[in-house]
Amino acid sequence: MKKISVRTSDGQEFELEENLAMESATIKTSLDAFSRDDIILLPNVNSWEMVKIIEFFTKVQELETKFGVKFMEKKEGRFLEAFQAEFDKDLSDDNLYCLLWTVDYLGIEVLLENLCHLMAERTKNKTVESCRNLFGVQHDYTPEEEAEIREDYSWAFEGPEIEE
Amino acid sequence: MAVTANPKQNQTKAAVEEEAPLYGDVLESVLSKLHLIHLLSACHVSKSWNRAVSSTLRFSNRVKPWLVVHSQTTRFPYVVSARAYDPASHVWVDVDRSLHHPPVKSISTLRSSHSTLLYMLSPSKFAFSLDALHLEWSHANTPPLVWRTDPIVAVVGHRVVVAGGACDYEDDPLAVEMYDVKVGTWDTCESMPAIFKDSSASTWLSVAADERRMYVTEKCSAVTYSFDPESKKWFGPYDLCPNPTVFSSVIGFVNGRLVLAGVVGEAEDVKGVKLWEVEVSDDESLELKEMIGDMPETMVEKLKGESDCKPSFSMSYMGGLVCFHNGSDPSDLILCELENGGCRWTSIRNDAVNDGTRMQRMVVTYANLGLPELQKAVQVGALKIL
Repeated sequence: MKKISVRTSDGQEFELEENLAMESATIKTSLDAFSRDDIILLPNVNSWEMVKIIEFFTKVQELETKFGVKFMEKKEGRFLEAFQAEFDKDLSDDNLYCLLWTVDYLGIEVLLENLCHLMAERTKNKTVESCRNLFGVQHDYTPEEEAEIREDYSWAFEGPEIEE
Repeated sequence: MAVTANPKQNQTKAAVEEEAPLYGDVLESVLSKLHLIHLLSACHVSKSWNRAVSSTLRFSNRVKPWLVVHSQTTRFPYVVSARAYDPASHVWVDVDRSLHHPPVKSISTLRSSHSTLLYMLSPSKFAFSLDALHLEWSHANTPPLVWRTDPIVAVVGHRVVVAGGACDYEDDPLAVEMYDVKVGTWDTCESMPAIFKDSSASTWLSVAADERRMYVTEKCSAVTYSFDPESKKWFGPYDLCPNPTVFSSVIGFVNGRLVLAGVVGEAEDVKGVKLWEVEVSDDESLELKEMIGDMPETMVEKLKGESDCKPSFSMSYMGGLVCFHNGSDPSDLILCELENGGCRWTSIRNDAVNDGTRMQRMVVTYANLGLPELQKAVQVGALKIL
């Protein structure tokens, strides 16, 4: 199978299997525009992210062979569980956040779906402040609106913070 | 070419955030993986999150009516506890009503004729509750004129109809009264049809109601009458018995249509439970139509349970969801979801049943708990989700 060369933002070069490269809508678009012998530059992707993405994709292929079905055709719970079991504990919130963003940029549907699930699990039952920290969100309420929400929905601001 | 590298200093979350925080499609994709009960805090993170939550809920079937199982002790002070089940996320939650005093103390038994109503009746008081988790109770200004022990009660529009179940010494065991919630007064109506003479108590009758009419079915014969609160009159009889193999029938509304659930076999040997659609014509007459559901055998066995007592089946319903339970052994609840012309059957263990509640009186209602209702319930401490 042909390999596609890409270069990440920090100058590292990777040779991707063609089937992984073609899963990325972004890379595929570049390939359609240019020759396959060119190196695709990915200024929004860091090398550590590329390493993880290759790891993730390898795992998905392994699971698809094991279960005998394509994940995107039938999004079965056991895929998500196996993926989560393999990667969740070693991924910090910050890294997951970056990877989610990068995978979205690259347009790799199957990985986006799995990472969204991991992120959703971490969002469950969090307080408002924890969500804001996890996602790095600045709220856009006026001070009056924020005060009103804190009073009307006080329970949403209480409770344990994220456990590291 | 395998390269192992650590995250570089400048490729941190902060750097990514400056470029573009998690927004739009990706945020909705994350939130859409969560059930409603896990999204309660997410609503308040920011305005854009609030919009994203509403957006993901709009086009999904992840919000379903909740089941609420109420258990009442059989001794004074007849405390009622409740546990609620969310069919979307399969989670059971305690309903804490300790801040809301029981409406009628003394001998009152908690009852429900149809799935959104709870009521309590004593010689001197009549109280009823219609909100989702039954946190709010209304008291009729006066009790019904006729003393009743076990009437059928239904809410039709803004009226509460109380029929039959009168005490032995009352003149008319079939007396019917109506309480107008807006005005706060009772009104006497045409008595129940004579056919119900020996079966006018709620034990023998099944009741369903919509905004306009109340329907009453005699469980053993499936003979049905409808009651119109506007004219205060009864209409019928309509024979809805599907066939001689059905020995007991209950009625309810599913997806806005009147449905009859028939128990096949006999009390000592229940063989099955089937669902039939009932057509209500323009002239308000009723006719049994085709069969629309058949409970799987394994679930019939679970519903029968292990009690030596004769089964006492009840059907609760809301929207397209139906729940069957056996008053003699409520350990398993059989759920049915009617959609696209078919039935999807599941069974769940009744989480409200434990050694403490096993011998208690149990009533099952359904509750429409959308986002605002859930938020309020959590805020007042009625539901402990977080």
